[in-house]
Amino acid sequence: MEVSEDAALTTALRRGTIEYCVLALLDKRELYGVELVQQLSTGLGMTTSEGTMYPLLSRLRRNGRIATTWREAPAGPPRRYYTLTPDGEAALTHFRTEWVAFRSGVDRILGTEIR
Amino acid sequence: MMTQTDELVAAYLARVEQAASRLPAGRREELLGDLREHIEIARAESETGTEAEVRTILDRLGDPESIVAAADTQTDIPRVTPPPPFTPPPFTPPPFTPASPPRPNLKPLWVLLGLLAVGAVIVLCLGLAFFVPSDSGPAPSVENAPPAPAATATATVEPSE
Repeated sequence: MEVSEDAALTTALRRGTIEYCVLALLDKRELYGVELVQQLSTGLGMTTSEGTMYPLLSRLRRNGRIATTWREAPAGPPRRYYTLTPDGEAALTHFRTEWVAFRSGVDRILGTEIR
Repeated sequence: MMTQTDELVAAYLARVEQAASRLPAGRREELLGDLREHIEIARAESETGTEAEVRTILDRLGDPESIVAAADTQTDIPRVTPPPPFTPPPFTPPPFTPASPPRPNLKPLWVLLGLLAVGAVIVLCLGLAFFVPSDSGPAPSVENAPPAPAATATATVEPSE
């Protein structure tokens, strides 16, 4: 019960933020699916739910915030690289501002400000 | 041809497909394609491609049911976002709807106006047909007029005489 509550909490915390983590990772450089999903799951402690990120990626692609391009790989099958679109870049910039304001508000209320 | 690890992958994808039966066909195919691609590349990158490594790849992907549940929530979010594109049309129809009901009423009016215009043109043409000869009539009568002043002149002359 405590485990499922913890899971519900982390799910709730990730919701609304994870897609901007995707945009931020792609802002650094383009990544193919396996790389992107592994970096996200490692960074956010979701190493046993990499698969759940593909529906998120397809939504971001449908909404025009990311795009994909196929590239030949030196070894193995060609990779489909995810890239940030100008729309995605604008959304990321906006979220960064919103996030800082939101985070400071929560920190003030919780008493968790870094002094 | 199909190895034991291939069977492992096929069984996993079959579980996803079954769980995804509630998704729209397009989303289901996209999800299965993404997962198939992920497994294929992760296997190509794995050092030995042993069964244990494939199991790890599948474990990291996670439970098929929770992947489909994530797809469910992702289909819900765009459903919320489309309304903005949907709201502009409702703004334009109102001007159209008041305009369209009068149209059926205006149609007979236009037909009447058209008929009246045609009628007016016919009347004018007929009128002109009558007036043009009568205009050429008065013209001679104007020529006849000079004798009239002459007559009056004679009339004025007459008293002087």
